[in-house]
Amino acid sequence: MEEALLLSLKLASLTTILLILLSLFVSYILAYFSFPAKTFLEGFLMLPIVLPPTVLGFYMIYLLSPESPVGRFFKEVLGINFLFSFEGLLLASMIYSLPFAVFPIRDAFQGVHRRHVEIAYVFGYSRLETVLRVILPESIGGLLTSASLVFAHTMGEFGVVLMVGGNIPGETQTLSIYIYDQVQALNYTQAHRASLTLLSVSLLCLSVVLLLRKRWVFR
Amino acid sequence: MKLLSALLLLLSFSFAQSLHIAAASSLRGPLEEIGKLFSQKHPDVKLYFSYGASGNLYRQILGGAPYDLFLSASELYTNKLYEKGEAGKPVPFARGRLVIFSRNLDVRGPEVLRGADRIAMANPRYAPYGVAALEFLKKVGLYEEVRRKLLQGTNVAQAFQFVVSGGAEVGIVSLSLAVGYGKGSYWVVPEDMHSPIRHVAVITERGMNNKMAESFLRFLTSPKAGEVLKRYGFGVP
Repeated sequence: MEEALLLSLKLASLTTILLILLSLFVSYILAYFSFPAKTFLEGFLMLPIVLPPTVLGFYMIYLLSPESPVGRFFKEVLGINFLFSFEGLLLASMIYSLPFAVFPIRDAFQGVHRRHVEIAYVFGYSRLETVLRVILPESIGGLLTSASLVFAHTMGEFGVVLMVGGNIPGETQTLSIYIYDQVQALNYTQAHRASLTLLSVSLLCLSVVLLLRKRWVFR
Repeated sequence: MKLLSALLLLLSFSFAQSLHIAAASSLRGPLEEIGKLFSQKHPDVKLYFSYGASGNLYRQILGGAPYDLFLSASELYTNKLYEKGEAGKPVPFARGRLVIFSRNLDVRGPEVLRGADRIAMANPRYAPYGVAALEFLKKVGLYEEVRRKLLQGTNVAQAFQFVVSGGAEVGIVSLSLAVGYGKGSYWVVPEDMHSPIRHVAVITERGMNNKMAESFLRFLTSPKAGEVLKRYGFGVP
């Protein structure tokens, strides 16, 4: 069980870090620029909330299999096989949790007082300086919300992992899949232990982040 | 990322070798014992087992899943892998048997299926025991009658779990699972009522580079492993 727990934690942490970095960029564009088809893009980014994980899983299997051109490209040029591997789970988790990362950060960016940004420009801050010194510090609550949602969402992910990950100990057997496997093996004791662990870890993570958020936002 | 891969590298070196085995879920009980016996002989090898329906495991191997050895409950999949050049020569090592199993009912024959509320079986699209169960139902002429009561598990272990958890009154499952569970009542389906359930092992393309794959395969076909398989109700191939 320890192995599966560590794998889940590793997957959730990496997904959170990479996705937050990506979302800072995407959210900034969504919050401060307007361009044609922006609403369409926002709708597209929100799709993973509405679609069942099976749709994402199926498309990933279809696109990334060694028989498809995309899968062959990744395998031959980059040497990565995304199907039934940790890298594949990471990619799937990032897509699956994308809206949970992007939208709270976008809202936080939009919530930054317009005058603060204008003052920053008046004082001669560059665009990057404004982001680092004004926008980000004021959006820390949104960032924490995003991070906690993505982390918890990834810890509890099941359908996508089952479809694109298989059930390989140490590679793709996350804690949620481990529970599924133990139930099939009729090891209810192990299933109980793992379920309780998952419940506690998720609750703990969420509580810590919510507490931090409270401290930071309502100083 | 660099630090992480360094850590992972360290982890992978802490065992001299590892062996990833994909196995039909009917094999879970005996394989755990055989794995332990194998580990006594090769304590430096870390074994990883992934259980599932043979058809699903086959699909995963085609998709590039990192298994060294594939123990299938049907020769269909191992033959296909061999023909495609994705695996070595198929080695039959056991013959599985189908049973009708129930936790509370006294199972004396196929008639028990008539009275049952729900009947669990494995999905015949990709699970060999599901295929055998379907053939059996058609052969005894009960298929049309019980069709709407069939509850399909993703693999035979899940079908068995449906019965044990009380979701289905009876299940058409593997003898190995019923023996491993040790309780309940079962009736062994005569072998002429379905095509043989041959359990066949292959070393995958990836496993060709892993010396331990060969050793495990040899151990699996040894008399010592044969004894364990026999105890779980498997016959000689």
